[in-house]
Amino acid sequence: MKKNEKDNHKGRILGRRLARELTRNELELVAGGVSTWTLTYPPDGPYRDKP
Amino acid sequence: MTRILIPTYPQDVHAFEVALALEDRGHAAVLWHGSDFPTLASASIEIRGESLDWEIAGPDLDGGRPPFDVVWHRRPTPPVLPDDLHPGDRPVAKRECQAFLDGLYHLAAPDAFWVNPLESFERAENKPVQLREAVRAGLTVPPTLMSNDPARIRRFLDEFHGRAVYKPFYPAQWDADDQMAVLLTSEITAEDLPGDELLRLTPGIFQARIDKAHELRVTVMGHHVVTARLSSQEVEETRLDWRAAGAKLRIEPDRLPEDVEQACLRLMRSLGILFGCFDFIVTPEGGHVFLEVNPAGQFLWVEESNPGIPLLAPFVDFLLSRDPGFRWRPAPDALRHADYGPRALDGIRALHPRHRDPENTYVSSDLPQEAVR
Repeated sequence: MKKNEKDNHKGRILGRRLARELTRNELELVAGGVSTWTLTYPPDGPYRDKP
Repeated sequence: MTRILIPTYPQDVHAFEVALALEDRGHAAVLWHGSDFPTLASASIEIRGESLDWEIAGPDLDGGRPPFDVVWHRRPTPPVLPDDLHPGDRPVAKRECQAFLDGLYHLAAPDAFWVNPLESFERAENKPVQLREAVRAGLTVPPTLMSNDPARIRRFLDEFHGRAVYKPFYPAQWDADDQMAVLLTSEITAEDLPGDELLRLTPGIFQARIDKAHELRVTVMGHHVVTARLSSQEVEETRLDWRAAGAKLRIEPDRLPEDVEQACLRLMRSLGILFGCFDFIVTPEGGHVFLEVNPAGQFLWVEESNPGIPLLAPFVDFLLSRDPGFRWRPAPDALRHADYGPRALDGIRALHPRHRDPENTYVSSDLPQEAVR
């Protein structure tokens, strides 16, 4: 994954501008079949609503 | 027999695997999926004079009555309401559900061994508090600015020009069809910033970029410290943030210097936690720089990547010990993730259709603004 360098995020917050873009296939390669580690279910951090 | 309550979500491999291991050892582990409440699960608290009774019930939930000896406060999930509930009723129902569940957690097992203690929950996961308390505990942290003030952010980036990173307070992901965007630690310069009006809408964490020899993932349970060296500088994708390609990491057993280990334990005492997953940078000069501690962090992936680093067995023994000062002694017949991981995945696949997924508050839509509205 590369830092998003496209200038197509006018009007978006900083975090979205810096987020790395990838396809679902690329995501599976990132996880590499390790069942107890994923990028999308956050590896760290609880599921809970934030105010 | 020890009775363990585990609040979590239906696809949590860690919770399912630890529960399997506990049951094989003859103990009772009860998984409580908060997202099943209130549509699939019910709960009650009844107070009559001095007597307190409570009960949780739902799919695959046997034994949801007190007493519990241990509560692994793994990843309690908020209630999920049905989509067809009247929009005007939704905020009220959600608030009532959450208030009730919060009360239940507080009353459920006040004398049990909690990992982590309920009262630590808010404070321990708060990044500004962590960084401040880490310094007080004797750890080194990178120069850090947390702000939404455009002028201060620009000054900070100027000071560390070309050597600064940005990170969010929480994970974030945007989904659109087959494409997604994941926010990790990113290099940043002033040229990356949006206009001031937009910049001030989202505070962020801005830090000086620290040179890395490698990184450490340190899992602490009681006083048992498991240190894994992550060779994050060997692969281009993991140099800035190893989560970008976690499965490619070479992971080896390591040790923390005694003074850093003691500082970690001081930080945990300060935050009120008994379990935590620490992330450290080790600099080319051998310094240890604290990044964060995750009170509900993942840990079995370390053993999955390197079976020579036991984590399932010590964690199960830690829960059963009910000892804040726990230290693990390896046994020849110790539990192994390799034996339980596949069983946990099979079990989750079988049971998942009977449960309700939590609302993933970290994922938002990346569709055009008009479509989201």
